[in-house]
Amino acid sequence: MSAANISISGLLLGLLLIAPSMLIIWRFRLGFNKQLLISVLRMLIQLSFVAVYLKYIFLLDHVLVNLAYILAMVLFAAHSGIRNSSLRLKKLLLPTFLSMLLPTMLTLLYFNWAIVQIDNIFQADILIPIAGLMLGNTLKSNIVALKSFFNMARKEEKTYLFLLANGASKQEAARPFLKEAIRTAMAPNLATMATIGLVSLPGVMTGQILGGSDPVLAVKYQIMVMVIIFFNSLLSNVLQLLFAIRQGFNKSDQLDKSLLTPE
Amino acid sequence: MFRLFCLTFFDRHPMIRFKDVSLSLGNKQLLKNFNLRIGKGDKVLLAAQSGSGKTSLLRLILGFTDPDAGKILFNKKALTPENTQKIRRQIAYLSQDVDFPNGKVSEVFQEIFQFSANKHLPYSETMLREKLSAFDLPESLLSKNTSVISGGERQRLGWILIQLLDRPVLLLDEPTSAMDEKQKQRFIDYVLKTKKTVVCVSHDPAWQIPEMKVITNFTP
Repeated sequence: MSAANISISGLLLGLLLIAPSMLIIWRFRLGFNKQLLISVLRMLIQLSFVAVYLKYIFLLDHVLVNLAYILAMVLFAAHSGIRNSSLRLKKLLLPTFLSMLLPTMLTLLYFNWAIVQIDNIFQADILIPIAGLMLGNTLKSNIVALKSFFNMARKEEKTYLFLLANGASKQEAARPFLKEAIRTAMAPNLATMATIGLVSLPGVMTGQILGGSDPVLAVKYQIMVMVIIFFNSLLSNVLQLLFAIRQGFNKSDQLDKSLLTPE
Repeated sequence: MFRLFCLTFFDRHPMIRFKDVSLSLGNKQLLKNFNLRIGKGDKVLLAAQSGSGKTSLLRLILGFTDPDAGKILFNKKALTPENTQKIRRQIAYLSQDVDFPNGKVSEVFQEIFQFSANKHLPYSETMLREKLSAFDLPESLLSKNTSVISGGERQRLGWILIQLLDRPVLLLDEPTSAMDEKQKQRFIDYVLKTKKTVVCVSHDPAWQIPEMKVITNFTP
């Protein structure tokens, strides 16, 4: 079994749906027709590229190429993550990169080795899509974690200093912020897990079913994916914030406020 | 050699010393060439008008603010990023709003006494309960969140904390502002009796007693 093909004419008919969308936008003067066109165009170009190079990467299936691809994905995720959190980029890029890369690699290899149990644990057509899934989620939760950590550190600096002055190390004094930031960042993951399947069919499952998989297998994959996404985000959050505690305060343990302004 | 002998025996060095310290916040000059010697066991009252930098003075000792010029010495050693942590461990600090972290009172105390610098101190919830009753606070406070208790209760909890921490130096910022006369007197008496070095910020006349070394001006 495999997915029903979409022909060129099918694609074109699909894209035709953009036209009534634009009509509605124009009619109600919503004012984002230009953005819509740009977005659609970008999507077409980006995904066409992805289609082409993934096809070749999957054909080639070379360990080093696969790993290099993942490194590039993580780097891109780290970069856009910090940019979207409106924190100073330069100082946090390397720690963010590492706190995304290390958990992702660990979880990925465990997924391939222990869960799917494939012979070549660097197999491109599993490694890369799963890495993409995990990174997308980790990126979102790391942004939330970083943002809420530094927001709290700024808002509740007095509490931090009070604890510092009564015996806490900077790690101990920043612990309340770390706890709250991780709770905030992980809350959506918990909520998704608890409601999955009730409202909509989740992405991995839908994809597999469309691809011709048995629904039971699709569900197994979905469950495993939820678990590794949770683990990966949590580990990445913790690392990210431990780095933030190291880098966000100066030698006298004062909050480095220059980090809070984007460059 | 003789010089060293003299220094050790005859120069009773101050515990905390401000040497030509200048500090401005924004465009306001708070301290200018400020000098102050605080000996071991001294009781100092900073009673300048509000907005004059009293709180900043405490923050300087704690290394939370760096001076624009001059030095702060603690036991003869200049405060540096390397030794601030060690120095902070000799201090207990009551900030103006007694900024306990969010959480149940009993858990917040538990956490503070689990800090590696505080772990060696004797602490148990029984001790906390005893202190509560000594300070006329109800035991039910233990299970309340620090964010819902009143300012007066908070301040007394702060006093309990610094007594349990038992540090040689106390830095107190408006420590009795939310207390009635009777309670206030109890803490003033405690400060007078203790051998600890105390630096207290307050514009309350109740603190202006002969035993306190009162400082009212930070700029010459």
